[in-house]
Amino acid sequence: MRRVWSIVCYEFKMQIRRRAAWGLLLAVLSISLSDSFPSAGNLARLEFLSVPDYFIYRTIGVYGLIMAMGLMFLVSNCIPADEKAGVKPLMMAAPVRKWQYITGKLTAAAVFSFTMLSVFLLLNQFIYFIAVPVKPAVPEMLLCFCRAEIVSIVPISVFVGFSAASFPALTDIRLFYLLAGLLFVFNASCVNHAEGSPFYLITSGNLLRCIWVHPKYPQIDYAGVWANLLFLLAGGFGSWALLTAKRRFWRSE
Amino acid sequence: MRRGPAAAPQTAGRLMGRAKNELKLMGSSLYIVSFVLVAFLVFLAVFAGELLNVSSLGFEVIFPFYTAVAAGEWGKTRSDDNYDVIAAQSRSVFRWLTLRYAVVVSVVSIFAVMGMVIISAIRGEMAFTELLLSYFPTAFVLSSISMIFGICSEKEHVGAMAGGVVWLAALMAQGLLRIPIVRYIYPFIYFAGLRGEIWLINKSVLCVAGLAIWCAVYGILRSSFSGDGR
Repeated sequence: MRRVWSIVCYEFKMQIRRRAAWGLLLAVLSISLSDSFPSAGNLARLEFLSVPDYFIYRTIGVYGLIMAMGLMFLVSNCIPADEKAGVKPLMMAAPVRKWQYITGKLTAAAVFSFTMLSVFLLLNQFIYFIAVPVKPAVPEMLLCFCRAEIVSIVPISVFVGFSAASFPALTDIRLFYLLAGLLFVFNASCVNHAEGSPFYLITSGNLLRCIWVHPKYPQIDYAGVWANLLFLLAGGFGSWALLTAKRRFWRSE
Repeated sequence: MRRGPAAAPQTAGRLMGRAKNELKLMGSSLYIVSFVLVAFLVFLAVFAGELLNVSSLGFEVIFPFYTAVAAGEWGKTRSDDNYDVIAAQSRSVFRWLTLRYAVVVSVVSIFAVMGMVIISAIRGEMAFTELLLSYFPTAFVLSSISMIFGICSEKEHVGAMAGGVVWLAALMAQGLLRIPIVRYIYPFIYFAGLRGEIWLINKSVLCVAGLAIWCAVYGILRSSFSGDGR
């Protein structure tokens, strides 16, 4: 496991230092706050904006998707770049096994996605806390944040990090972008219903209903929640399994 | 020295030669992925129900995104391994960049037009000219965004990421159409259901925005290299 950990650390350091990642964060943060900043106008326009849970629900559901798409582009290059820079043959010459390399790379991509999404959510929440006229209690805000992290950010990060890092190593990266784009377009154009959402939604699926529910429709469709969770986790771990099963990925087996 | 009439075919021939070289560099994956997208849209046109407007979804939303990705990925600029050599030896980086962009976008557009012909024959939701008008300005703007970010960063995929993020942000900002000015710049106006005179004005504004981005590209290259955008 020490080797996997080393790969995770190096890859994470490389990803987190990318200026494009922080540029993306700032761009999406400004888009998000331009819509959900708790100004008098926005508080009048959005009925539940004064509720911290709703603010997190909206931030992850709507703007988390843009963030997820940007992260997908950022982490997609981690294995092709190793091949191009000649790092992969060096890894193959070293006493590193295929599963260790793949697990290290994919975990780093997921951890990086998790970090960026968490920072995004934290900054949003911090600005919200400063600007909202009726201040919510700090423990309540922290509890909200922790719940969002566990319920939503972790599965999203696993899905985005694992699939975006592994598919470009399995197929043409442009084809992957196209397929991911199609998934994102269906996510963006899907209208949420009180009864539940389709299971294939990345950031705005039924999982999000564990964070906030509309007071008129308080019931939670737990089957939908499990289906959404399963889709995200199976998508992530399934792509790991596919890459691990690819025979011509590593030195001759 | 002024060029005579004989110089024109010679220049055109040279340009064709360079375009063929660019096509060779791009490889067959551009054709394969473009074909896959057209096949997917045709499949959707045949099997999707009446509730989905495949024409506007396909050619105002999905194909412009793909054009932006193609411009950022196959039309690499600063992230190209040979960029320094090209910058040092070519007559003009701007011309090289324009040619590369034109070649990629032309290939994708040919596939888009083929898809338009087939889908308008199958579904008849939009006239062919409407499809053309809804596709080109949006694709032009998004792919130009990919190009400008591509020349600003040495890292791969930054151009495609910028195009993709703008595309998704615009797609999700449909609610902003309640503000009148947004209707003139929103890239997916037909998909959003707005028709009439505003549609043509919107597409004209997008074309102007695309040209403005290209002016910015020229300005960036001019400030990066001495003289006339070299």
